[in-house]
Amino acid sequence: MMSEQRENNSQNPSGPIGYIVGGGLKANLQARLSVPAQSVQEGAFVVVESGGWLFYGLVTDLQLGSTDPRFADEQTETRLPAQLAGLLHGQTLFTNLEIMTALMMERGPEPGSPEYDAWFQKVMDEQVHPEPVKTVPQHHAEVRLADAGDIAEIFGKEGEKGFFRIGNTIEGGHPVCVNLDKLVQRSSGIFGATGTGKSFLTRVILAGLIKRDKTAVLIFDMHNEYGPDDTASDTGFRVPGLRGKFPAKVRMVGLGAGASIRGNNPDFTLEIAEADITPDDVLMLSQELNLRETTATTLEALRTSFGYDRWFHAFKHMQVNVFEQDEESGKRVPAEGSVADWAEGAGVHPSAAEALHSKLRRLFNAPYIVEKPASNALQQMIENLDNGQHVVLSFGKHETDLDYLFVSNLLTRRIREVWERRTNAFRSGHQGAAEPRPLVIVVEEAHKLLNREMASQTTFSTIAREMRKYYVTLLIIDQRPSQIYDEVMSQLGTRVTGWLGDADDIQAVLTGLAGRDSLRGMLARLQPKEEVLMLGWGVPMPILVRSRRYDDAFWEELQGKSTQRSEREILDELGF
Amino acid sequence: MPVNLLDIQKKLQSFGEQAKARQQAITHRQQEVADLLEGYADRLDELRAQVDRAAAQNPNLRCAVPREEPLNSVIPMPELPSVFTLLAADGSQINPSRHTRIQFCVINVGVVKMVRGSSQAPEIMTQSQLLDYDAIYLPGGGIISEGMVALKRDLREREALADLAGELNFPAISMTDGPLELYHEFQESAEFTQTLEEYMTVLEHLRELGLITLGYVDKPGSDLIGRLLELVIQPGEEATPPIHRQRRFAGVRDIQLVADLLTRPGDRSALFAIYSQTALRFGMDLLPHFFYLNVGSPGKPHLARVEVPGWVARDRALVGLLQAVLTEQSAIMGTRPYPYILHRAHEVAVVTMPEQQHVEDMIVAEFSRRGIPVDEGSFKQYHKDLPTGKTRYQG
Amino acid sequence: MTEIEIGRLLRSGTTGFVIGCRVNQLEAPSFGALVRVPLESDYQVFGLIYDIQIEDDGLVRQLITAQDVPEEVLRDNRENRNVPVEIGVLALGYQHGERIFHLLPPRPPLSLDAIYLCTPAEIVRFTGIGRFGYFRHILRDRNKPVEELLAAHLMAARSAHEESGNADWYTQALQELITLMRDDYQGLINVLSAASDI
Repeated sequence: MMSEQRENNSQNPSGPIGYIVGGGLKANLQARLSVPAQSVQEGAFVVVESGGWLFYGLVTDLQLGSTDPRFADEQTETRLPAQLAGLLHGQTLFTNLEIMTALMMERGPEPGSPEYDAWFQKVMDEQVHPEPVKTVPQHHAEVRLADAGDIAEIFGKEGEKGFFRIGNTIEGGHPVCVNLDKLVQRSSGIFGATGTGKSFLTRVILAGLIKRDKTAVLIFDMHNEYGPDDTASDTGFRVPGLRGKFPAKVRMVGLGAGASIRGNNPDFTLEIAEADITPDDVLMLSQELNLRETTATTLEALRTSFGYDRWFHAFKHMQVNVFEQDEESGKRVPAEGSVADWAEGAGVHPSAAEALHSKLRRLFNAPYIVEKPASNALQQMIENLDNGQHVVLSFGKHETDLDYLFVSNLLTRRIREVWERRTNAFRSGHQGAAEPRPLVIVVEEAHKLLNREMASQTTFSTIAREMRKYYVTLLIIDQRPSQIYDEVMSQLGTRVTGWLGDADDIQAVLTGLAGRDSLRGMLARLQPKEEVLMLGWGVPMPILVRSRRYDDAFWEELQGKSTQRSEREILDELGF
Repeated sequence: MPVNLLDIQKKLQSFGEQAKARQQAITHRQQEVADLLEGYADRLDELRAQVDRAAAQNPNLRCAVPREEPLNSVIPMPELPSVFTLLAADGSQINPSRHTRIQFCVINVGVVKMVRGSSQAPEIMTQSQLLDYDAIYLPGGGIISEGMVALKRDLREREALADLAGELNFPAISMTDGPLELYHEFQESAEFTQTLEEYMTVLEHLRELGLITLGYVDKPGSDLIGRLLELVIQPGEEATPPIHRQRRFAGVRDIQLVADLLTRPGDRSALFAIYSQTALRFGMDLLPHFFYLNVGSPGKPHLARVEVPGWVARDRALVGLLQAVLTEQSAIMGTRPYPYILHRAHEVAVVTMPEQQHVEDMIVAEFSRRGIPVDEGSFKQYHKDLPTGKTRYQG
Repeated sequence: MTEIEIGRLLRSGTTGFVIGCRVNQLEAPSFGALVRVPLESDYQVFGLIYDIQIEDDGLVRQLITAQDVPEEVLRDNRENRNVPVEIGVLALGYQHGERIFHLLPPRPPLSLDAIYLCTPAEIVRFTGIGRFGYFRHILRDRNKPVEELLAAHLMAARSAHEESGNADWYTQALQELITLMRDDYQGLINVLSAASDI
């Protein structure tokens, strides 16, 4: 009887919540809900048991229905006693669940039966694993909310082989893990409107990656959030930085000599040698600097005149608006050493060259660009990354987009070149060439680097496309995914997204994924805080997650209580 | 089925004219009798003397005899007692018939006993008597006449009242439908005499029980008062043989005379004794008396004749009781006044056709068991019994 | 357990039968009551009273015209007069041996078979077996006052079941009715409205 079922359900959370009444592979499955509608929410992770199979799916919609519209139209509760109305509504009014099934898995024999042990061994040997749905459950197959075991079956068990708990399911609060090793195999993205806890989630994932220690992480910390301790903008609580929690593992690099990051001294500072700047690095700034179309020609002329190493230095030191009297003609001509003078000599329109010179003044004036850096900080960073350390490049006071775009692109290009070289050496079997340590470059405000105009020019889009070919992937963090070039978006393996206010952003996050239509609504109705949708290549199936809190408890779970740290960890932190 | 309506039509006019003439004559006579009734209202001794004279000359004289009350008396009814017993008996019979397979006779009597004021349901009793075979086949050949069966039935009714009266809450009144005086066409036959004797024994027995008995006659056509007054107007005709005598007031019924007097429900007329050869045999205590009673409702009078034995008639309190009881009983029947208990006795007594058939079957079975040959029913009866209803093709 | 005989069979058919009883027997049976007709030692038919007809006749019609009717006359007509009360019964099922079936009886009861009112224990036994299959028979003829009949039956059976300790029967019965009737909105609402007056 229905009422018995209900009672059972209220006592037994893993009891059936409904049964399949229709649907298919193309459309989602329809299930009749047999528990109060409020006990199930959109995004709930459900399991359908049918035959020898378990089907795993997400609730993508709840619809009110009635056997006859009049039962819905008429407020019978006002006419009938509560008990009768309850019974009537129990059978004539109902809620249908729309379930997007994603995976199915063989259920296996009953535990305790003779076949069970053999089957369990197969599971342990990973011969039995979830696979994409190819069929549908039977009519009236029971639907239940996934329990911790089901979630673990699909998303992995916390603490095993790179599985890292990113949060819990909304219903039931069962741990949901992400496979960090898989996460970094392709570029991934963390999205969400401002204030949705995006940067906390990023900290959680970064902490996980650092703890996992299989991958080097380079963070372009534009707003100085990740390295140093911080204070949360909304709660005012202290937010521990990665540097403080992993003192031995995280190197904090400040941009520019004498940089101070939120009152802390960085481990070392980074200055960029003029010689390292290529014309492409400048061209990439076209939009930011409002460069003209002639810029490329001018830059090419500069490079030809002065060479890769010197062009920036030479151009920087040219003068503008200085003239002298031509002795022969008596005319007023550009003085030697002026931009115009060089332009004339190089066959470039002087005014174009002068305009470029004027526009590059912001770069010329950047204090972190020097002719000869005091130390080879770039090399230092690469060494750190090689040594199993992780680098946070804090931009300190250089927080303009120009600084960010210029530095992050330039560094990324340089570092990738290094990794590319090493990879080639490793692949071609050079003696002594070790396998490069996988590197994840974390990019904030990614749309500034990966928008349609920039994407072709920056190294980032190359990295995104290459996937893990050269052991470098991106973790991009952005609040406006729609601004990111869709070809890049479609390459993102794993996407973790919080609430997005803009339909275009939602659309962008779902680019290239199956079941977009079902997921779109779910994404639009995410709780503004802490609820995130995980989807894409890196997770077996989309899932709604209440993300883990980035707080003391998190750190205790991740590192153990400070008093119980092992000797090894203490030594690590001391830098031995 | 076919009635020749044309033949009827031809006759209708003269039939109507005859009726009208007779009606006019009767109205005329009625007025005459009414006048006489007024005139002789208190001249009771004179009238009684006239009856004696007439009786001496005409042994078959049949008329009313005034007692102490003036002819035009109107006596209202007293209050009804709170508790009293009512008994009613009625009978029905299965007459022997040549057309049935065997000839038999059953007299069925129903008795209803109601104690007013008890709030109890009445008792219902029936007595069914299969007449002896020898009583049906008369010694001189032939079978018992229907009249004789009716007589026996009337007797059985009274007997049943006495038999079934049981404990009584007095006053107790028993009644039957029809006159108290037995009537039979062969008044002198031995059989009648024997039955009458038995009848009077029963009446006597009822009297001993203190059970008032009465006969109730609805819509009475009697003209006993008219016959009494005829004696006054035609004193010289006593010698004329009855067969040649003109009935001066023929067609004037007694109730037409008293109707104008008895206007209120419960009103009764003066009490009269009945003078007849049969009545004379009853003796003074049982001598049938009668009065007319308005058992109707206000504005709608309905007159009945009530016959009681002498011992009741002498007691005016008892007569008053009867007035009240009969008026109440009649009122129960609403728009068509008739004593309820009498109707119930009739309902109980009536023998339905299926019951009749069932009794016949029982007797046939008994005969067969004994090897007595049984006739077929007559074919005439068979054909009469064919269903007359029409049937329709139902598809 | 005293057996209450309420009358005897006048006529019958597969789907139901008509009982005649005297008016003074009428205090026992009521609309919606469950009755049984034992036919043989191991076979009896169950039914539900759906109609009680008190017939009149000429005398009763005549008595109506009287100003007042003495108590003795009233009781005479109710208790003595041969005007039977006709009770219509809907066949709901039968018992053969120990088994109860919610199917129409294979043989209807015969003339003058005695009809008994079911005791609470018999009600519990007949209505508690199976899954309310006998509702079919009640719902079949919509010319009958089905709503009222169901309400009367539910009320009687609920108290019988509750006395025997089964408080859920009523809920289950209503649920079955809703399942059976949910395609008939008006009919179902009528039944529930009637049930809500219980």
